[in-house]
Amino acid sequence: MGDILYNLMLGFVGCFQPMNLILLVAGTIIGLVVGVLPGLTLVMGVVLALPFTYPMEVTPAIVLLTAMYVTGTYGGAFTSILFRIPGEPIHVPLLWDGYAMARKGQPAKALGWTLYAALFGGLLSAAIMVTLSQPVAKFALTFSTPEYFAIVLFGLTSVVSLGSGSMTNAFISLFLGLLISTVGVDSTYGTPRFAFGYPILMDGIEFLTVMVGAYGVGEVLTRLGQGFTTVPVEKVASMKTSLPGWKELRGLKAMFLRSSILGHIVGIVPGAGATIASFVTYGVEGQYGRRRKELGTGIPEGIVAPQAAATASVGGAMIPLLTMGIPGSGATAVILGAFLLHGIQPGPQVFITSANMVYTVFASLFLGIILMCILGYFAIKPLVKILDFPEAVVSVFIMLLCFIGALSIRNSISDLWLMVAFGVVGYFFDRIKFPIAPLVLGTILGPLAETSFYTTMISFQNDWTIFFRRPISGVIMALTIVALILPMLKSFQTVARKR
Amino acid sequence: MAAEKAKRIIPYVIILLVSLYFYYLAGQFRFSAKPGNLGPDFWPKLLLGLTMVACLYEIIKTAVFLKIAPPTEAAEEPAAKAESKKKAYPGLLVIGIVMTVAYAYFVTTLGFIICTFLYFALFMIVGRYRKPWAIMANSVVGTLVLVVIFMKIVYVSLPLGQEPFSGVTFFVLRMLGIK
Repeated sequence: MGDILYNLMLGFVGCFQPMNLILLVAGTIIGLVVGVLPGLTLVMGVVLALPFTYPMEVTPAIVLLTAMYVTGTYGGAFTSILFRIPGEPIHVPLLWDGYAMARKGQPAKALGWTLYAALFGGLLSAAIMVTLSQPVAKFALTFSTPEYFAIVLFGLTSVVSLGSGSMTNAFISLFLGLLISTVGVDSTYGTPRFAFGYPILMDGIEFLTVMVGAYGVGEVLTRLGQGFTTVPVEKVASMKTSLPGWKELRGLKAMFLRSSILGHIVGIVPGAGATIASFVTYGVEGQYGRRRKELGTGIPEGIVAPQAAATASVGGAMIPLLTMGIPGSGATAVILGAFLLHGIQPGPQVFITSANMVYTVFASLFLGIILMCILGYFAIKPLVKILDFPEAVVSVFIMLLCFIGALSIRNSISDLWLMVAFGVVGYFFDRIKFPIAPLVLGTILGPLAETSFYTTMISFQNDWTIFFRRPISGVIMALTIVALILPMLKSFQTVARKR
Repeated sequence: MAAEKAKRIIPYVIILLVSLYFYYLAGQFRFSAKPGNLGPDFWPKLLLGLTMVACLYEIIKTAVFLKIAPPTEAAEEPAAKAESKKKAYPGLLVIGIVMTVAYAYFVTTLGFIICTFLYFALFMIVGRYRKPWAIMANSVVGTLVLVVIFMKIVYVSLPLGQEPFSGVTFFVLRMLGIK
C-alpha cells in the first residue's frame, strides 16, 4: 500500500507539470461542453479529441482524454435538470427525478445533489481504482492466452447481453465487427484476408476508422435525416447550484455509497459503461430503496443514484484497460487507441515500465473530478448557453473533425473513404435497430480474441476444453455462459407472461 | 402484413447473402498450415457461420412465427402523432451523404482548405441554417481555425490539392505563417 501511495503522490506532482495541467483543465472544460451538447455523445467527443493528441507525449494525451471522459458523465446533468434535454443517454434517469425536482421549484437543489453525487461517486471510484489496479495487474501477470481469450469473450458477450433491443441484432453486429478485424494480412500465416488486392486493406482496417465513422458520421447523418430538429430551450429563472446541507447528506450516506460502488462494479464489467451504470442503480433504488414508491416524483435518491454511478463507472472502466489492455467501453477504447498510437500497450507490464505515467493519470482523475465540480458550480450559465448554437453549425464541425481524424490515422485518403463507408453503415445500423457498440467493440477486441484463440489452440494441440479446465479461464467462461443465458431466460419469461 | 414481414426480413437476407459470398472467399485463402492445425480461414469462417445462423434465425422467426397485428384506429393515432413529431428528411440525408462522398473524392484535388470551406458552407445550408452572413463567417473562420490547429500546432499532414488549387492552399498557408 505504501508504494501505491508514494506513486500516487508522484502522480499528483506530475499533474502539476504545465502541459499536464493545461490539458487537464482543457479536457475538463471540453468534457463539460460535450456533455451539455445533445448532438455530441461522450464517446464521440473523446474520438474527436484523439487527433489533437498526436503530437503530444503519452501522459498529457491520456490526461486530456480521461478528463473528457469523466466530465462527460456530468455535463449533461445540467440540461437534463433544467431543460429536460439529456445531453447524454446517461442522463435520461435524471429526467425522472431531477427535472421533476426542478419543476417543483428546486432546480438549484437538484443541481446541488448532482454535484455532490458526481463528486462523491467519482472520488470514491478513483480511490478504489488506485487501490485495486496494482494487485489486479500483478494477478494479470499470471494470465496466459486461454485466460485472455476467456476475458475478451466475456467482454464481448456482456456488450451483447447488457444492450437493449434485439440480442440477435447485437450478435450480428458483433460478428461483423470481429470480421472487420480479420481484414488484412493474418499475423500467424501471413495470408491476406479480404483485402481484394488493395494495399490499405492489406494493413487492416483501423478500429478508429470504424469508430469515427460509425459513431461520428453515422450520428450526424441520422440527425440530418431528422432535419436537425432541436428542442426549443425553455426559459429558466434560476441557474444556480444550491448545495444540500450536512444533515440532508447524512440521511443519504448509505445510498451514496451503494450507488457509487455499484457504478464502479458496472464500470469494471467489459461492455457496460456509464449509461448502464446509471440505469442499473436507478433500477436498484426503484426496487430496494427506502423511498422507492416516491421515485420519479423529484426526490434526491433519484438524482444521486444515477449520477454517482455514472461518474463512478469511469474509475471502474479504467481498471481492465490499464491492467489488462481490455477496454470495457467506447471511451476507454479510444483511450486504448491513444496508448497504442503512442507506442504503449496497456497491461500488467505498464505498471512496471511506465508507473509514473499510470499514476499521473490516476492523480489527474482525482483532480479532474474536483475541477469538474468547481466548474459545474460556477459555470452553469455559460455552459448551457452552448445549447443556443444551431445544430447545423455544431454538426459540420463534428463532420470535419471526423474527416481530419480519419486522415490523420495513417495519413491516407483511403482511411477517409473507409470512414465515410462506416458512417453510412452506422446510419443504416441505426435505422434497422442494429446496435453500434458491439460492432465497434468487436473491431477493437477482434485481433486480441483471434490471436489468443489461435495461440491457445497451437499450444494445447487444438484442445478447446482447455478454456474450461484451467481455473481462472474456467470461471470466466462460466460467467460468460451465465451472461448469455440470463437475458435469454428473461426474454423467454417475458414472452411466456405475454401469452 | 406480408409486406411488413418482407421489410423486416430484407436486412437479414442481405447480410446472409454477403456472408455467404465472404464465406466462399474465405475458402479461397492460400496458406500452408501444418496438418491438424487451424488455418487463417477458420476464424473468419466461424464468424461468418455464426452470422448466417443468426440471420437465418431472424428470417425464420419473422417469416414463420411472427404475428403482426392489423393496425387498429386507436393504435394508429399515437403512432401518427409520434411520426409527425419526428419528421423525416430523406432528401437532406441523401444530399448529406453525397456531399460527404464528394468531400472524400475532391479533397486530394481541391486541397483541404478549399474543400473544407465549401463543405462548411454547403452543409450548413443543407442543414436548414438560413443566415447567409453567419454561414460565410462560420465557414471562413471554421476553416482557418482547423487549418491553424491541425497544420500549425498538431502537424497533421492534410491534402494540399493539385494545381491550380494548390496555389490557393499555399497562399492561405503563407498568410497564416505556416511553412
